[in-house]
Amino acid sequence: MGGKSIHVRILRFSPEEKRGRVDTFQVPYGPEMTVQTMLRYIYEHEDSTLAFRDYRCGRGVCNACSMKVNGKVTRSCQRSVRAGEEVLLEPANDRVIKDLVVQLD
Amino acid sequence: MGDYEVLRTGVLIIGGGGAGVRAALEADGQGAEVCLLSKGPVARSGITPLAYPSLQAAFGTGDPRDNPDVHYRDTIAEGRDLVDQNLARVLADESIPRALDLERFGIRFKKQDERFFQVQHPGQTYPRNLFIVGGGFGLIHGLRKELQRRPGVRILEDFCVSHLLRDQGELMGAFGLHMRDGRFYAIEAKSIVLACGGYEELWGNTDTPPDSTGDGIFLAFQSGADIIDLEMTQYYPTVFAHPESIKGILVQYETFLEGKYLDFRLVNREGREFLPQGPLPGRDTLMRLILSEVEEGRGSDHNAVYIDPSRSSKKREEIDRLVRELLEGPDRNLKGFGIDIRKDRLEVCPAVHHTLGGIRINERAETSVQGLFAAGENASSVHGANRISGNALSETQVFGTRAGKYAAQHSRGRGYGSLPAGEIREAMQKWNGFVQRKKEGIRPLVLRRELKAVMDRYLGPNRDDEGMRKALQKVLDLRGNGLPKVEVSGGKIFNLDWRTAIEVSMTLDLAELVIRSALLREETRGHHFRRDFPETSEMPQHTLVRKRDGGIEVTHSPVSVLGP
Repeated sequence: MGGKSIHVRILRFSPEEKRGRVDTFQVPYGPEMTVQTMLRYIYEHEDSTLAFRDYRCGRGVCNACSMKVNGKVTRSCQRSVRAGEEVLLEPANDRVIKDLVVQLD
Repeated sequence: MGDYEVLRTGVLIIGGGGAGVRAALEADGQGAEVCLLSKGPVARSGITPLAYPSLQAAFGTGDPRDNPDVHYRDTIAEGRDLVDQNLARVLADESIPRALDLERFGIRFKKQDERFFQVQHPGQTYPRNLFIVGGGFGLIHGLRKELQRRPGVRILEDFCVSHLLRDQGELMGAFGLHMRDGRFYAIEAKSIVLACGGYEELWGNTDTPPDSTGDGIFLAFQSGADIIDLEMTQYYPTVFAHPESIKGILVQYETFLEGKYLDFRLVNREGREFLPQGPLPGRDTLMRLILSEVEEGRGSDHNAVYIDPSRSSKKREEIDRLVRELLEGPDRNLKGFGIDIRKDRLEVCPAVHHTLGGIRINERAETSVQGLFAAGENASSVHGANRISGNALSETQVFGTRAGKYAAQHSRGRGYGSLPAGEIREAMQKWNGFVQRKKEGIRPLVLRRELKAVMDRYLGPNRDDEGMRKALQKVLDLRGNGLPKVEVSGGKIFNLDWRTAIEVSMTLDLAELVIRSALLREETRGHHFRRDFPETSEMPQHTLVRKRDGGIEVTHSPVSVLGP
């Protein structure tokens, strides 16, 4: 770890409360970090209740980890992040199960 | 403690990978009422999407001398005498019609002059691997599309099965957590097919996805089924060890190192080639050769060796052509990670790739429990102690189909048992226990991490009695003292920590079975290497574990030979 941290905002949705909110995290930048590994960091170290697809094909073929990154639907395992970057993460579509987990087509 | 949902089906399939979906298609075709449960979304979870494009079937287009008899003999020889010959016979005979089924479902294979394009990998006497367009993802994506054309099949995704249910000793259904609504379900069924993959995730050093926790094998054990050869974890010899971003992605050595393909060379830190002259070795042998280099101090800083393109006999244009022809897009393009596979040295080491042990089945994919079937990586003994490239996907199709067919037949004319209320209450109590506050709670991730560290250290490619007994002690300690402290926060819907807690609870039990099996096999064979027993016994036997009188029976069992 080193360099500037990443400023992450995540659109959360709690199905129990039927409510959305935006949470903010500061993630220490690590070399070769992708949005997927960054989410894993948040889940493991910051917030155990964060829901995202932790499945990892890692090659950009399966689409399981798709989400909107700064407004654009992206495969999170293929999207690298830069030190100091500001990132907004939202679910890939409207059929949200929880947080970034959606029902896929 | 709330109540639970109840569903009913004829055939219940647990697992949404290649074997499970194929079983569902077959059972549906047989007219059975089918329900499929998958721990993640079908085609976007499990091991099949990550598989390489190889599926073995002896069409003989690569070489007219090839046929199912040669396929059978290769499978037996490479399995180091631990293959069930009856299963290998079925595999060799039926991978041909099953490959044709796949074409009918719309899955595409690479063709040359309208005939199957076939490549030869180590262990195959003749070229026998078909090339699935899109690799494992192409296969499972096509199977899923076919499944969507069967409106009768009910699919529940993000469903984590934790128990098989019995009524007066008879299998009657399954129980688990549906992540999507955070509720428990009991599903009554007349037959059950287990097809939910291997247990690679007991280790940290692996190339598999995180959901490969061997749930089906744990479930079968709990219901009394015979489980064999759990110590046989197949290593893939060449998996990226560095850089961190691609660690755990495999490099298909069969393509990179084979003289007639890319002809790259395997070198140690001194840049010296270390493979013996002659044909490229099988996975068990190659793994040992790489580990010897590392153990003798000639490995890289990450305990790995290098695939070196600079000494290939092939010209640049030919390499470009072969890369296009033999590697799928994502595997030939790692430029996003700063790697050009045609020019750069690749740092690779062995990692757990496939688990050869599992539930004992016969040719009808029946387990030793009536009404319970198994296929794919949940089942065992098709590959013995070492698997040839391309046989894993063939196995999913051949035995997935058989499991679906015989499960459907078994379900005909049968009634339902009654739900075992006590057992269900106990299960709910156990899983709900994780969401209650603890004095010194720990997250399930902690136990998962510790288990992986223990398995990597003591149940890796070098094993001995002393180390494995330490591992057993540690696993029992994690289960006895760690598990009761597990605390999960947050709501019940799609709670990753909750699923992990349930998985960890199952994998700790499974790890004990793996260690006890590995302790019993006091010999070296295939991927099981004992420092204290380096010889291979002349009498190959299975290790067998099963639940008896509430305890674990650990014993040997003979290897089946071909019937008349």
